[in-house]
Amino acid sequence: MTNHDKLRDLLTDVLLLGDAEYRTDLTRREVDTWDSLAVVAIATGIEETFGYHMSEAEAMGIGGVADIIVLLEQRGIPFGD
Amino acid sequence: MTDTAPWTPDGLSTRLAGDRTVVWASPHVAARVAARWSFPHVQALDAVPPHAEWVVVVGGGTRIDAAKLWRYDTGRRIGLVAVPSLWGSGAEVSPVAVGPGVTKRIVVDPTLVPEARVLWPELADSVPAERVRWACGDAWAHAVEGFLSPLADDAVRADGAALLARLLALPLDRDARWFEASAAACALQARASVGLVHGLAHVLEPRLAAVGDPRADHARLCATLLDPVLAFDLAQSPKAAAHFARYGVDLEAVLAIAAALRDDETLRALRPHVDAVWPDVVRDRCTRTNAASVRASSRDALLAGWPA
Repeated sequence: MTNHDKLRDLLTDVLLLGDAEYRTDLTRREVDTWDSLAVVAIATGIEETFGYHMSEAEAMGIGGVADIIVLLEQRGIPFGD
Repeated sequence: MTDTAPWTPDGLSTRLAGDRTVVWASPHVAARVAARWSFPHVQALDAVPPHAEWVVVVGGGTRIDAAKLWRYDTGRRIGLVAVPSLWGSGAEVSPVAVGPGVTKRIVVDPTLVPEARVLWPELADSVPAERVRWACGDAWAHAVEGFLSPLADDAVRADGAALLARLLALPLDRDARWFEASAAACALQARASVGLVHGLAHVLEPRLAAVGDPRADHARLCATLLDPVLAFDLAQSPKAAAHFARYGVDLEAVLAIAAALRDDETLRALRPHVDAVWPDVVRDRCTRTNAASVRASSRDALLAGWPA
């Protein structure tokens, strides 16, 4: 399973998205379940899945899927697969 | 959040003016309260007279939260003194109030905290033993979930570890020390958050209440859900066990308490309800801040250790 797959599974699972709803350019504003508390759940899930602990500022700065990918790549977790 | 020492019952009599104070007490303690204090009683908060400056609310967490929300919603400039008739909820010190209804209304605001609380342990003397035990479980759930919360910082976890050691010294039985311990547990979680125990309880309570199920009791649900949720957290997130180890909390002792609070008959009855409302549980605001991430696919892992 690629890191893209892991991230897709995590976000669809936490945000209760249908498979067709997930896109790498999906933003928080498009998802009504992606509120500030869901951000906490996503940050917890990212730590469980990728082993990276997001700071509060990083978590609150996430505006969409692409931001998560950029952040994780900056922390050495590749998404070039 | 108030952290001031509680008043005594006699202290309340001397601090508040009799002609500016009314009491709103649970029926099961109203006679005892009337014998102790001479303040007039009201049967409903809408009956609090305009000249009143203080309301003394006596009862469980539901009644105290109702008084907090009444003042919040009406904007009345009136003092509130909370007198818990049993420990567990910590409503007397909490900036959170949970309202009744099919969809639990949760309000978080520092102005909700009552100005004072009264410690009157004898009010719990007549409470049935099983309710006493559930109240202990309610306090335990606050303490464990606050300690493990992803929103807890080092200071909260250090305080939480000290609190958990304090709780481990208490019996799961009637003991006046539970009043202060459960207030501390509530204060702790208010500095971080609670988790899946409360997410499940908040979704299940109104569903059970709608069909007259006696299990629709917050403390009862929290008490029995702590064990399976703690097992889920430990299985899903290595950080949970790491927090216990790092802060020197005796995890085995905590697990033994959770197991002692677990009621398999209740869990068995809850199982189909959990199946039915799982998406709502995942979306619940308390669930969102659980120690381990809770997902649509997490249900089977949670239910793995439940009786079929």
